[in-house]
This record gives sequence, C-alpha cells and structure tokens, in this order.
Amino acid sequence: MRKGGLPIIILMLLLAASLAVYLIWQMKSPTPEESLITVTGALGRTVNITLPINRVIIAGKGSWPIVSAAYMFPSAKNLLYGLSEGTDVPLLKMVDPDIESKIVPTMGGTPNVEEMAAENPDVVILKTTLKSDVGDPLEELGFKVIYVDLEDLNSYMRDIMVLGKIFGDEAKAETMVKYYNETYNFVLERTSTLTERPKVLLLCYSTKGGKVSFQAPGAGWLQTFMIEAGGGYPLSKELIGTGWNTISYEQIAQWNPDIIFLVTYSDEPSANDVKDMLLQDPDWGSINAVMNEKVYAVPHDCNNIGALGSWDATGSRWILGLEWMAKKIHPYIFSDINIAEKAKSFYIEMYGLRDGNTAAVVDGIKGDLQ
Amino acid sequence: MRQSARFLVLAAVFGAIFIGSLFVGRYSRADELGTTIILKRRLPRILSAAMLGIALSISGTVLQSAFKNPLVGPEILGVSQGAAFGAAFVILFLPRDPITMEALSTVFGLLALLASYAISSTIRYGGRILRLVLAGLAISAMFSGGVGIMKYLADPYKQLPELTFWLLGGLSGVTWKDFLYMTPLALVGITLLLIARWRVNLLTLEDDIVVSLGTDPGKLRALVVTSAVVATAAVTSVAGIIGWVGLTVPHMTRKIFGAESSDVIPASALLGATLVVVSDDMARTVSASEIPLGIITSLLGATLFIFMLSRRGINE
Repeated sequence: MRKGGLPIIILMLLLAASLAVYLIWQMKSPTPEESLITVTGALGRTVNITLPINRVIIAGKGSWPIVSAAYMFPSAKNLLYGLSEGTDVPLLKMVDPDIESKIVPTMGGTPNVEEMAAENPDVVILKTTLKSDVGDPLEELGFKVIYVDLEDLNSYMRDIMVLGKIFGDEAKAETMVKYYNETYNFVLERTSTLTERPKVLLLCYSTKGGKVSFQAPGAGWLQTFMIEAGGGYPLSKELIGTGWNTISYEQIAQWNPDIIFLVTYSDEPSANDVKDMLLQDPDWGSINAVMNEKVYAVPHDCNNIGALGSWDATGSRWILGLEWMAKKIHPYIFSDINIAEKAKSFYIEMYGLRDGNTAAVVDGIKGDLQ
Repeated sequence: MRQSARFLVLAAVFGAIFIGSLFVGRYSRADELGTTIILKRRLPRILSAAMLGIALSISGTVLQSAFKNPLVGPEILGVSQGAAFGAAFVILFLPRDPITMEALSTVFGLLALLASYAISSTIRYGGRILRLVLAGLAISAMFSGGVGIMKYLADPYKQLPELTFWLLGGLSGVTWKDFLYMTPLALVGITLLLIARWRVNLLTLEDDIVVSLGTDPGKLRALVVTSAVVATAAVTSVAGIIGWVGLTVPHMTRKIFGAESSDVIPASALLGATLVVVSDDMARTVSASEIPLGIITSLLGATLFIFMLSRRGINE
C-alpha cells in the first residue's frame, strides 16, 4: 500500500460510519408527515399513538357494541381488520361489504395475545374487562391498547369521542354525540315530569338447559335506564344482581307489570313467537300487560343471533330503542314520533347507508316496530 | 330417643316444611292466580327439590358405604362430571329435549363410573378402594376437561350462556313436565337402593367376610352403585350440578341415626329432601331474582357439615 493511504481509508470509514448513523437516526425519527395523537380511554389512561393508524383490531368478549359504534365512522371499513365472530351482520355488511373477510375466529372470548400480536395492529380496542388478560400482555409487547365501555349514556358519549380520535374523524364523533344527547334530552323533556309511570318489565326469554326461564336486566343496566328515561317505572330496579337475573313466573305475577318488553336474542323462538305464546297462555292472562295486550317484541335489525341487532342492547341503536320504548309506554305523548322514519334517518346519517339499503334494513326489522 | 321416634320427628319436620313451602313465595296475594301459582309452579318445584335431595343423599350414603370412604360422593367417582358432560353434549350437538338430556346424562354418568372401575384395575398403588377413588378423581378431571372444551367450542351467543346456566344448577323454571321426566328413572334408582338397604352394611366389611355370609360383594356393589348413578344422573339432567348434598347429608344422618344402613338410607332421604327443599325455598324467595340453588346448598351444606362434625354425635 502506498504511504499515506491509511489516513484516507480511516477518513472514508469515519465518513461511512457517520452516514450510517445519520440514516439510522433518520429512520427512527418521525418523518415530517408523522405525528402523535393522545387518546384517553375508559380507564383514564393517556396513550400516545403514532399516526397514521392503518390497522385496528376490536376483539374479545363483548366487543360487538364497539364494532357497531365503530362502523358509524366511514374510515372504519378501511382500518378495521380483526373482528370477532358474529359481527358480520347484514347491517354492517351494507356498511362494509368486506366485513366477512375481517372476521378472525380467535378474536372472540379471551383472544390469544400472540395471535393478535402476529396481526401487527397499530391500535387494539378492548372492553375494560379484558385489561389484565389481554390488554396488559399486549402492552408489554409494545402494542397500543385503548379501553372503552359503551355501557351507559355517559360512557357512550365519552367512548364515541375516543373512537372518533382513533378513526380520525372527531367531527363525526361530535355529530354522533350531539344526536344521542339531543334524542335523549328530547325524550326526557316529555317524561321527566310525569307522575304516572306504568310498571315496565323487560324480559329475556330463554330455554336454557331445556327449561323455560325469564331473565331481567340488573338495576344498573342500560335497559333499566332506558325504561326510566322513557317514562316507565323499571321493575328491574328492584333486582340486586348485576347482569341478567333469572326471574320466576311468581315474581312476575307479584310485580304484575303494566307493560312487558320481550327479547330473545334468537330466532328460535323470536320475541314475537314468545309474545304470541304469552298472550295465549291462560297462566299469564291475569297479568296486566297480557290482559291489556301491552306485550311488545323489542325491534332488532340484524339476523337475531346475539344482541348485536337488538334495540335494547348496548349496540349503536339503543337510542332508537329509547324512543321506541318511550312511545310504547306513553303512546299519546309521543304520537308525533314515527319510529320507522327515525330509524331511516339514523341509518342514513349515522351509518351513511343509501336509500335502497336503508329501506332494506327498515323493512327487515323484526319485532313490534310500530 | 328411639330410632322410630327420630324418624317420626324427621318425617314431621319434612312434612311441615313441604307444606309450609307451598305457601312461601314471591307472590303473596290469596287470589285465583295465587292458587294457580301454588298448584302449577310451587308444587312441581318443591316435589322436584325433594326428589333431588332424596336422590343425591341416598346416592352419597350408599357410595360412601360401597367404597368404604367417607369422602366419596357422586362427584368423586366422576358421575356428576360425566352427567354434566352428557348434558353439555346435548346442548351443543343435539336437539335439547329433556329426554335426550336425561338419557345422555345417565349414559355418560355410567360411562364415567365404568371408566373409573376399569382404570382402577390398572393402578399399581394402594388398596382396591383407594385405587377406585384415585381413578374416579382422574376420570372426573377428564370429564371436567371435556366440559371445558365444550365451553370453549360453544357459540358464545347461544350455547355458552345455556351451558353456563345449566352448570350453575338450579330448579328455576321447573314445571310438572320436568318433574315427570326426571321422576321415573330417579325412582327406579331410589327404590332399588331402599330395597337393598339391609345389605348395604355388608359392603363396609371385608369382601371375604361378605362372601362367607353368602353374598356376592361384587354383584351387590355393582347393583347399589349403578342404582345410585341412575338416580343421580336423572336428577342432574334437570337440576344441573348441585354440590355438597351428597356429601353432607350422609354424615349428618349417621350422626343422628348411627351407622346401620337400613336406618341411615331412608333417614338420609328425608334429611336430604328437607335440606334441598329449604335451600330451594331460599333460592326462590330471598330476592326478586333467583339465586342459583348450588350456591345455597354449598353454603348451607358446608356450614351444617362443620357444625355436625365439631360436636358430639347424638348417637355417640
């Protein structure tokens, strides 16, 4: 080697090393287009998420209310790709024709953390109940996890704003919150001063374990809140258990409800089938609601497997259910309300359905819509 | 107090509780509907509770004698878990009618018992009874795992809630039809055990002594154990798994009536029926919503168990 060549080689190596460090630094630093959003979920934790968000998973037990709320954001159909079984219902298929391909069977129940990680999501949205089993392990692996509840009016409003941030559409979130608040206040304005409140019982009929049983929602559940806001006295307020409470016929007879709302979350039998059965059963004939034929099947707008399409449950249409209940409890006070028209405008404004699809959904609604 | 007097007192207590239960419930008005409720809702339910108590208690009593082990009950030999597996299988894969449920529960309960017998002969540890109990524990765990797999496979919207509800156990919603479905098979098992009650004592002796007394211990054991399984599976198919009755009641009965099986078996039937009827009364009346019966029998049974074992026996 020629004398003096070594310093040049060393200089070139130093230059190459500097260039490499610069390039690595460039790769790790946010590009000018990248930025962060800060999201505070249901548990009050603040999570920083790097934009852009391209892949969102909504998984785990009880994730269907989140899915039904998420699809009200137009961007959801491009961002969601990991959904649990049972969420590909007709209404959501109209919003996202590819929803079936986004179903991952292992995303139900308590999803496998490693499988979720393998999907490489930018954000995972979970119910708060899944924090320790799913959320914490995911965060240990470096994934961003946001928790939501969607269990009552306040958490619904808060969580819609959270979803708005994740799906990059806070304006739509505000529109939705405004719609839910205005509808709720509209009902409340007419019912809050009522002194006569009929006794109302929402019953879920089931043939679990081969035996007929009736269950009623707990005092803290959305259905109880809806009945009270709708101007009724919810008999389920007297229940001590959380969740669904098994109620004997004897207890129902003792309560003697003036109005019964029925759900089955199934087509075998449907709520309408059960209604017909009760109206013809002589044992039920002396109960006020049956005697006065004030037994109503709660509307649902999906294939009736699970509660996703039912208007009493925590899916997005509970707000329609609130108006429907109010009208059934106080038909004269709400005589100016056309529930089918309300539903049409809801599907158009909230889910962005076109007229043809909207008509198909409304025409397909089961239960006592009118 | 003489045995006959004890029987009379126990029968009177049961009779009073049975009749009293008819007039205790959430519906308190004495009108036409009240009468309908007593005849169509409370009566079949109280009768079912009594049948449940009788079947579980008698089964527990004879199984403890047959296996010379005070810790044995239908659940120890895998019978309850086997029956639960059968019911879960029906909920998941077959039309859910009560007869199919009862049949499959009984078949799997018996299969669990047979499997326990078969496996016990392959265990190279301990005496015959210990081997059987160990095999029963293993079979119970296997069927329990099977039920777990069923829960995993179950559709979370329809089948899983049904399965969970059934596994919790209870008599909520029981009608005359349910009572009539469970009764024939349960009565066959109970009647056979009552007929064999004079001989059940023999099973607590060594087998060669039993042979010398002119009885085949193998056949006798097979008869009483099969009868116990049939009775247990029949009531389990309707009520689900109800814990502690089959373990607690035999011990309580022996404390009061001594160890003579001809006394203990009918007495445990009365005591078991009383305990389950009282428990079910609490399940259906304490609050507006039903409390799962299994929770109350566990609480009440375990409390009585501790109380009885911590004081001197009446017959000591």
